[in-house]
Order: sequence, then C-alpha cells, then structure tokens
Amino acid sequence: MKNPVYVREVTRSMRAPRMLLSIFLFNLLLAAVGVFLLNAAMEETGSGSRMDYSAVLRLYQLIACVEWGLMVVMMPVLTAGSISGERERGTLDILLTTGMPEISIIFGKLLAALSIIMTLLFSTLPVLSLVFIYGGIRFLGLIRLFLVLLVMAAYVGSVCLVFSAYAKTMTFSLICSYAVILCITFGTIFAAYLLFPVIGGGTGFMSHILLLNPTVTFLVFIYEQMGEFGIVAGLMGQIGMDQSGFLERHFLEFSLAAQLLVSALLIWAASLGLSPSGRIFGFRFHARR
Amino acid sequence: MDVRYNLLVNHISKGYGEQRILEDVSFGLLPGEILALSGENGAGKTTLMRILAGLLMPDQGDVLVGDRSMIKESRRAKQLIGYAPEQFGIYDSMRGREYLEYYGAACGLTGLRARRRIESLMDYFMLNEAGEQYLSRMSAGMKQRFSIARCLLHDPMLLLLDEPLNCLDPQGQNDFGSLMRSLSERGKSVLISSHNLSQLEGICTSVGFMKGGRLRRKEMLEKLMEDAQRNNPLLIRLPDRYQARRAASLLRPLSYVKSIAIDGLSLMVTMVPGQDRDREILELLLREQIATFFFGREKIRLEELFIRLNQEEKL
Repeated sequence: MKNPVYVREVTRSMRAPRMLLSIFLFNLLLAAVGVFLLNAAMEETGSGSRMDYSAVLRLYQLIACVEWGLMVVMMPVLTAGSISGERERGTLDILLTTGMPEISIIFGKLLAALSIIMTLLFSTLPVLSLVFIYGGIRFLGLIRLFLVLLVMAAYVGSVCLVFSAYAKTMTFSLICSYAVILCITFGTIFAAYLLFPVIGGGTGFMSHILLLNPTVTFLVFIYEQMGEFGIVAGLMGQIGMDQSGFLERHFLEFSLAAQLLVSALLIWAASLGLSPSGRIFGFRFHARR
Repeated sequence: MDVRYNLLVNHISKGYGEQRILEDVSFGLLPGEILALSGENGAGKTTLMRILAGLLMPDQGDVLVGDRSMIKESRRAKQLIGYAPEQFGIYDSMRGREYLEYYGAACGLTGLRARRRIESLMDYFMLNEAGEQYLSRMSAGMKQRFSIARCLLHDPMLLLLDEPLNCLDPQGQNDFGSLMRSLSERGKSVLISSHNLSQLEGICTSVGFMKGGRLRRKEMLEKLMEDAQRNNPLLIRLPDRYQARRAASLLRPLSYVKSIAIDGLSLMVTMVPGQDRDREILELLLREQIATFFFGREKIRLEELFIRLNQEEKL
C-alpha cells in the first residue's frame, strides 16, 4: 500500500526547482573537481611514463567523502523539520486524526528523505564512473558505497526524526539534530582519543563507542575498499583497539548492523513521540501532556 | 429504552501538575445534534476538543465515538471523526484537489472511491474551479471550505470544528449553516467550539457553556432560550399614553407583578421569579378592552444569554 506521507514528501521535493538546481550544482562541482584531479594525474604521468593509479583512486576517495559529507549535512535539513514543521503549520494534528499509524508517518518521512538524498547521490554516478577509465574500483564497489551511504543516511535521519517528533519548533529540532550528529560523528572520536590514556587498554569500550560513529564506519569502509588495511589498523591502534579481535576484524559489518539497530530503535522512539496514548505495538509508555 | 449516542463523554478530567484544565466533564451528542460549545478563554474548550479528537489523553474518563473508545482503540475511533482545527492545517505548496487526495489517502480512501468522494465534495462546496489552484493563493474563506470538505472525506459520524466561521463571508456562513443542517438530517453529530455565538444561533440545536474546566450547562437551544426568555420582562406596546397608564394602574396591584416601567407607549412588566402569568395578563387587558400592539417577552440573543450565564455567581 502506498504511504501518502511518503508520496507527498517526494512529490513536493522533486517538483521543486531547487532539487533540480541542487543536482545540477552538486554534479557541476564534483565534475569540476574530478576532471581537475584526473587532468593533474595525467599531466604528472606525462607521455611515456608510468601511470600512478593511486591518484585515480584518490579521486574516487575524495568524491566518496564529499558524498558522505553531503549526506551528513543534508539529512538533518530533510528530516529535522519534517515533523516539527508539520506541527508548526498545524497539519500534524490533522494527520494524526486521520487514524494513520504514527509509525507510518515516521517511515513516510524517513523514506522520503532517503529517496531524495539517494537521488542526489545516484546522480553523481557518472562523475564517480571516472574511476572506470583506469580501473581500480569495480561497479559492485560503487553499489557497496551507495549501500553503506544508505544505511548511514537512515541512521542520521532517524536521529533527526526523534528530535523532530518531540520538538515544538523546526529551529530547535534542527539545532539539536546538528549538535547530536556532530557529537556522534566527531565527538565520539575525541572521546575515544581522550579517554584512551585514562582507561588504558579498555579496547572493548572504545570499539563499542565507535561502532555508532558513521565517520569511522565510512573511513573503515573506504580504506578497506581501497585495500589500505594498514591505515585502518593504525587508526584503531591509536585508540588501543586490538586488531586481532573478532569485532575489530569485522568492524564494518558490526558497525552497520549496530547503526541499523539504533535506527530502528530511534524510529520507534519517534513514533512514540507522536502517539497521544503513548502506546506503540500495544505497549503503553507515556501519555502526551 | 437504550439511547444511542454518536459521542459520549464520560467524566473526563485533565490537568498539568496542580493546574486542572478539565474537571469531570460528561455529556453526550445524539445523532443529528449540533452542539455549540462556548466559554471564556482558558475555559478548557480547546483541551476538550483535542481529547475528543484523540490528540491528547485525559487523566481520567473515557470518550466513546459510536461504540469505539477514543482511549482504548483510538485508531478505530478516529475513523469516525472529522476534525478541523482553528488553524486550517493547509499545505501551501499543494493544490486544492491534491490536498483532498492526500488526506483521503491518509484516511484510507483510495482509487475510484476516493475520486468519486472528492468530486462530490468539490461539487457540493463549489470548489471545482479552485481545485487546480495552489492553496497558498486562496482566500481564508476558500481555505476554510477546503478544510471542512477535508473533514467530510471519510464520511465521519462526528465532526469537531474549532471556530469554523472565523473566516467565512456572509454567503459562506449561510452555506455553512445549510451544510450543518443537512449533516444533522443525515444523523451526523457536530461539535462546534466558538466564541461567536451569534453566528451559530440559527445553526446549533444545543449549547454548552464551559467555565473553569467544567461544563456548567448543556441544554437544547430551544429550552435554554425559552427559560432565559421567561426571565425577561414582559413587553406590552399600547396605542397611546392614556391606554399605557391605564394598563399600568391595572397591573401594578397584581401579586405576581414585581415592577412596571413605562417607556413612552410601552410597558416593561417584570414578574415575580417563577410566576409565568402572561396569559392571565393578556386576558385581563382584553377584558378591560385595552388593545395591544405587541404583547410578549423580549427575545434574547444567544450571546446575551452567554454573558448573563457567565455573570451569574453560581456559574
């Protein structure tokens, strides 16, 4: 069955000229960077010299990081105001009286934001495909990149949706969302580095905190994809993580699974924020004051 | 005989900490009943409306819409209500028809059924021309019409309308009245929360007054007006001053007449409370061959009645 909230959000966003403009400008910027780097790598090579393939891979790395950055910056914009904005406009109450389940409203908002962000990211596929000129990354590798970005977008989006579901204004929700995303993406790294000298060899704790950090997850993914396992090991080693441990060896998989699990919990918490009876799946948690 | 209510409110209470917003509110709405709910600011009307719409949970009590509890099975109960808040709840970026389609889908109305329903509502509310316009460019009155049409999409048995007449022009108000009456004839119940009682006078069938979180009075409009009018002075208009003085001297000694004021050719006869002797007075005047141009109680406006009730100490 179609989710009307999803359909409305996607239609509204896709219909807006700013979406088209965003895609155009984003791709223009990436293409300019891509062509510039590619050109620089070829000039460095010169005629008859050996081609340095790592320069092309660095191009891929750079574009992937820009995409990750775009996702982290854009997801709060798309989700933090989605419920609180409805509340401010006075449309949320009406939506809640239609009998539509709260979880469907939250899902509709999240899926719409994911569709929009993934459209924007997928649109960069031609620029990303520059790496195919000299090889180094397979098409399946690109698909993996988008899947990782999708999981992390869902994670970041669900964090923002919780604030959106409980905040009364869009501004407050947006500020809280950015603050928390900043804490998760960078704060946990600082915490890990600061805590390491205090805790010493408490590797388990460090690994567990960083499982929820999308920055670390993404860096691990990118370095592993490029075969630079040494950098990953070095980063982990600096905070006392034991690379021989099972969790550390499968950090990426565990990290993505943990973020998906937290996303599910956050979606549930956001639905709870919309439920006047505080009842979700038959369980009662609170009554709206 | 078992009375079947479209809405039954059972001992609803709501508070925030020490502050009581609603205190033991109970009432019922019969099929076809249009209740105008009035009260001063802060009387608890909006909180009550939000509880009835399932947007807020009461601390105590229950709300039954048809046979469904808004507390225990709120999703099913919500299928039977249409709610229009004072803010229209309009998406400016939507076209009129899209707005109805969106909420129709949210209510579970899709496909051909949805299209037919939307067409019929747009015809009824004369919204066909505005259907393709963006809501942001519409007048407040037009937005209000879309808002009320939206409430009726899923054919609810109970309508909850918060200040629905605020933005309507006289023609719009007239159409609104006709719509409410036709809904009433079809057995729907309507609860209208409004400050502007004068506009609701010809529309509602019953009136509720709220004060301090309590529903102080809820009665059928006819009975309430009759009671209030009975306390009004009896107005007798006579053909000349001589007849007026004669009538006054005739009525003054009567035990059930409290006082008489002469204002030109009119007499204002205030009766002893509880004494309803209009007929006897008229018969007495006729016996004495005193002709009257007007004989009756002064009509009371709903708004005046509200102010009077509000001022009563016991209220």
